Amino acid sequence: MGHQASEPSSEPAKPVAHQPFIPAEQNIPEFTLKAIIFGSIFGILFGASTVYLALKAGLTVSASIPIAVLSISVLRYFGRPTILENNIVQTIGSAGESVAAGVAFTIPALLFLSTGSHGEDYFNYVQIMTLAATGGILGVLFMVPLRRSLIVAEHGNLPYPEGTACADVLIAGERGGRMAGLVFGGVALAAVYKALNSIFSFWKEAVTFKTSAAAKLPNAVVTTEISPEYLGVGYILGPKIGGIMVSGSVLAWIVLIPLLTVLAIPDATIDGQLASLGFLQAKIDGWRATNDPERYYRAYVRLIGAGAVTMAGIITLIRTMPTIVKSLKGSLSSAKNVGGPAGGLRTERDIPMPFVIIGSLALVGVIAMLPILPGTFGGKLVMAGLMLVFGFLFVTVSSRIVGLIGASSNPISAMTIATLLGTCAVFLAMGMGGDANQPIALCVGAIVCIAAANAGATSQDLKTGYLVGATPIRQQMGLIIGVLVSTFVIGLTVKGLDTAFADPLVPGSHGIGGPKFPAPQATLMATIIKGVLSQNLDWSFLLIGAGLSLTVFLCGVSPLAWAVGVYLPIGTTFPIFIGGAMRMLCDKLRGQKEESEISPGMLFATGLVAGGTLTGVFSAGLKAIPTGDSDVLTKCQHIGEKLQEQIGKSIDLDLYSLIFYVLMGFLLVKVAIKKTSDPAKNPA
Amino acid sequence: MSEPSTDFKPAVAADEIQPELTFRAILLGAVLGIIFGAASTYLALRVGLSTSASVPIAVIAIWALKARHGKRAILEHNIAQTTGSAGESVAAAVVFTVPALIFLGFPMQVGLTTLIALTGGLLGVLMMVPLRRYLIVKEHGVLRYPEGKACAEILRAGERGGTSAKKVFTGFAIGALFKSLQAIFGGAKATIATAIPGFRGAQAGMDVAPELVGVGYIIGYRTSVMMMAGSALASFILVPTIMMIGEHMATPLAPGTQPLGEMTADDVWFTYVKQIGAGAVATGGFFALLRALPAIASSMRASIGALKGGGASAAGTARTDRDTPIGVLVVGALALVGIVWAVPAFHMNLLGAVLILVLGFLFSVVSSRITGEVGSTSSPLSGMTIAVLMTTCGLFLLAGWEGPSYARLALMIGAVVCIAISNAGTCSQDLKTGYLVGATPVRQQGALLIGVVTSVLVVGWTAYGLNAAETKHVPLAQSFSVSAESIERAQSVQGPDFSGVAADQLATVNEKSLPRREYKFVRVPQASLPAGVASGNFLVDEHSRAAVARREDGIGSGRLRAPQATLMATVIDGLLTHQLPWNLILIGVAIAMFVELLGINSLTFAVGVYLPLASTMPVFLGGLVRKFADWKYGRKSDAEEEPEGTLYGAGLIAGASMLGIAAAMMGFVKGFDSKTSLHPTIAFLKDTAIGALSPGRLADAWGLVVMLFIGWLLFRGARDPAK
Repeated sequence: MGHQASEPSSEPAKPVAHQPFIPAEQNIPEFTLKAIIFGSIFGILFGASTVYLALKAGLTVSASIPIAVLSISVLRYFGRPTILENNIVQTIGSAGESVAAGVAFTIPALLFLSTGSHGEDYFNYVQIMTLAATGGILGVLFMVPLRRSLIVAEHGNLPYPEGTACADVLIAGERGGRMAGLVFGGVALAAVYKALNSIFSFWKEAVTFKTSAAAKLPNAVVTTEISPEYLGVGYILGPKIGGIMVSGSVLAWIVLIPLLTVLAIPDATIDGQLASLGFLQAKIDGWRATNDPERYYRAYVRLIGAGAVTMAGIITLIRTMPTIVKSLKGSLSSAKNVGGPAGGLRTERDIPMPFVIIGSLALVGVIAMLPILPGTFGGKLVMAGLMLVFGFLFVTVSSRIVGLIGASSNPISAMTIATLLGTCAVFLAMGMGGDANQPIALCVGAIVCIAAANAGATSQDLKTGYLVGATPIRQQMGLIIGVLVSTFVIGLTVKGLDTAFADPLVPGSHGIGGPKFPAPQATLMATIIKGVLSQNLDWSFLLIGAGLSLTVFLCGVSPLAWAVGVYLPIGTTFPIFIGGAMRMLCDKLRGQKEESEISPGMLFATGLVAGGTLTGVFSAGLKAIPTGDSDVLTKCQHIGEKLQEQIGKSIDLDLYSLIFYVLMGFLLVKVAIKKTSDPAKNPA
Repeated sequence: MSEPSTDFKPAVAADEIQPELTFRAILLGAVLGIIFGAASTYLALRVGLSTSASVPIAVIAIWALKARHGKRAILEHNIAQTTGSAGESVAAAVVFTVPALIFLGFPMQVGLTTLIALTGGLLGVLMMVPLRRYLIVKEHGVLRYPEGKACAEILRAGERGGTSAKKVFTGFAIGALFKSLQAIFGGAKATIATAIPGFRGAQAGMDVAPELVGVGYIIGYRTSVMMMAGSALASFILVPTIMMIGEHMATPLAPGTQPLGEMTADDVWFTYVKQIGAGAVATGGFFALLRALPAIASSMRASIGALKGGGASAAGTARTDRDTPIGVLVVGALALVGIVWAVPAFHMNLLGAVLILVLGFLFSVVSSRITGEVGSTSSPLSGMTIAVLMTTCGLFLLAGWEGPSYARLALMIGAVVCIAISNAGTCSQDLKTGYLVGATPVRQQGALLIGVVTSVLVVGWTAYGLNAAETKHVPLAQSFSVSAESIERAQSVQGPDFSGVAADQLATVNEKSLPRREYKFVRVPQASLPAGVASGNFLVDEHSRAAVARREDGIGSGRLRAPQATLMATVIDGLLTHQLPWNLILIGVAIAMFVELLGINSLTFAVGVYLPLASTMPVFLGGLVRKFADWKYGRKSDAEEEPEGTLYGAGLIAGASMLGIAAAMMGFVKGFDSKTSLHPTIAFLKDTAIGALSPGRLADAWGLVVMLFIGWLLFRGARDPAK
């Protein structure tokens, strides 16, 4: 049950004579134009990629190290880069990933709120961008005063694993740069595969095995989306988490759906349930005709999944509460111990405090006044106050937890739930309950979530900078630039995916929440807000889901990843499990366990994720270009579909499609088990 | 996790020679085995439960067999307890399976019952011989064997005396006291249950069972919570879901016979969720087997290697490591199978005989692992038997074998295997005890064989006698004739001769006063019966082919419900007529898969799905006490070696199961008489003193208080007195 976190000594470490890689006295090119440009490009790419993955699978992949590796190799072509330039690229780029995660986890919840809240109306580009930018910048600004206490004063206590690993990569320089080939290789393979697969439809995107509605085990479904990004994510996450996620889907698709089918629910009951959830009659009729598993998934299992995710989130919150409180206390006490103003050294220059205070107040003030946001003036004032309080609170917590256990274990959703619960409680106390205030509560949650996510990334970057001898103020400026640049694209991606994958039959429908982009975390946030603020939930199925999460928690398994698996289609989790199994296979073949984050397999897998997701985003873009009676994407897909038709006459299409997938898996294994020296082992 | 066995020091060192396989130990064990076997037969027929007997026998042995001539008696106590334990485990398994014969249309006979019990029991002992090295020695530290562990603690405490004996005794007294309240006076209800308001169909419950609290403490928090989680899934998720969704259905959902809306939560659990649980147990067992097979293979190779090393090396083996020679084992097992094949009463063919051997071995591994993990009391014997029957019938269907005679064959295989695996579980508990106290395995195995042989006869007779005492024959007002073919297949039984009774007195005549004659015992299906006559078993005159009377066996009606046997008959019937609820079983299979994917042991979880929540809650309570005790007293969590609370828990197990056995015997004595009444004093106590404490709904609260109090006492008892 325990946390992996090692107990930090409460005693703040003595400011040891820390010697950065580039001494403070040495002034070398750092905040250069090319660094800013490339940082922004990487930020945009990884931001878009993260949005895609987070909406589809509720997962994110850390970007700092891949960006550092890429930067070292790319910047070489534009004059000799310094290590500090590479650091700025990595700093700017990483902001995109963290802001994107925060956005994708919260803002789509606007679509899932009660009908009476008109949340959908606020789901527009400007709104998304504004929230993302504000949250991101707040995260950076709040981290300014914390840097001296967390990064400098606690240098010996808080390891910041990702930040330290990233510094190792930067210091290893050239040798690390050679690894970039692996990332590029992954990106290229994934891009080609995904383009042929989902743009040109040369083979099927998913392979399905399903029993008939009259079988012994009726309507059991096992589907695999044979896409590069899931393979890569699964490889990065490893077999344990992959197993836990697919376990949830197995429960949903091989236990619950068959059970519901066995129970022979009258058609009218299911159709009524579906209609009450807002499905179109045409769709309902189609599902009824074949007694399709999707019918039960949509009518019941989704609700059970939402209950499971919500309960799992609350359990995670309760379990991390001690860590959160301890982190807060630790941060506050170490802040007290940092006496005296900073010296004039280059490596000690932060954004001046007055700017920080005025900047954050101004930001929040502007947000509150903006007419595009929901709510009355009084409501907005409350909202601004809550953003400041919760924002600072959870930035403090997030930056410390990340220091202890790393960015990938950062319980962002738990903190967002806490924010939402707190916000809703304040709203209720002030008589601001009801549907109309749901979007306001969500905005507070979104800003805090984005700020906390970005604070985590920021603190890793600042740790890296501290180790390599960067100038903090330049990093902080870089981070703000990174946030601003990436938010343009993040907003575009969220909105674009939502429109491109909407049901063409239904005007005003959404891609997010549909089969391709289920957005599990956003459902969790919406369920909490609806439950507390309006108390108008369909409890029976949510309770069943909550009970399932509790059961799994009792078995000693952390329930969040599992519950996300219940909520997601099995087509998403099964390939992640396959990726995890590949990792296990590679460990066996290589004869040693546990790869570092910059081993060949991991970098190649990261490349697969980036390539696959970016091509996915690109295909959404193609969908937006109209050509006569249809659009570019549909035209392209027709080409391959004709080919498939021909091939399908002679061999089984599933089998044919699997050939390409197996080939990709084979390449991943081959790359992963090749012996190479690990630049992380370099004594830094 | 597994500690190397070389570091382990038993109570009696390997090089120390003490009296062990003595006549008085065997005599005491055999006598107690017979008594407890008979009592268990009654209890299992009556309510479908069995209580582990080895711990009570150990207590009696300590009291009865004193050390002589300055020697230690601990190994003698161990032998007595080992010999005696076989009776109970054979009895339970016989009752769970053999009476299914009646439901399939065959009479229950003493000779056959005894023969089945004997072969199954001996097979179980033999199967555990090659498995001992792997399950007991290698997995020491992983598999707890809570009852075996408790037994060893008691034997050691009995020898040492002092504070540890006091601790065991306190536990014993508490366990006995509260069990007596429940089992004899009926003051605290046997099971407390309450529906959860606002959550239709969800029902929380807990057996008032001090022994299960002790078991939970010994197996530890991790295992107990996983088992409870399985039951919670069944009771809080599956039952409410089925009830909520099926509420508005007008027609019954197979295999149920009434619409879901009219069913209670208990009905739903028994009709549907039990089947799901059986599927989960079978799959969990399969996964456990898969994981265990490599280790079993390697330890078997080691055994065979030792055999090839020559007889000379046997003398060189440490005393505590000496098993029955593998040659004896092979010859014995083959002989048993040969007997099963050759004896006509079994109606066995070669495939069946081979199946017994193969399935017996595989499921012995599963059974032993389960008892090692969750304890004998929670071992899902019927679930494993269902898995055996499914495998057997599956093969039969592949071979195209259907019909009543194959149903009997399947049941024979199932029964022998069920008895074998039940006894394998008990043997492993005994061998664990022996391992802990330093017994000689070969002597224990000998004692077990003796225990089986002495107790099977009484088990067979008891089951037969109880059935006969309550069997009724109802003469038919309107006779009908039966096909010649079915008479040819049928077996002969004795029954009352109604021919001398006048037609108008048939309904009132006392059948006991009539002379006996021979009939054919025929099961007639509904299709070949005249309208208005329900299907069932009939006594048929062999020559005229006229059905004379309907036979209502004692088992399956009224007080001898034999729930497991009914289940087995349903399963076999369903399998061979393609009507088994495969969908439910397969859903259970998928549940085991989902748990396995979580990276945890699905077998423990599956056992929880199969058992009612009320039976796993007390185990969980014990596990919870363990967690708090480990935390409070600063011990390593769930460590096998924990000197204080384990003693107390062992006492609880001993006291409660002693009283459980006593209650069974009280019932047994009266069992042949259909009118039961409590002793006047006890009845008075029950109605006034204790009854007053627990009126109506308060009985649940009272039971809960009792359980929490026991938990608290155990928590206090777990503290280290030296500190």
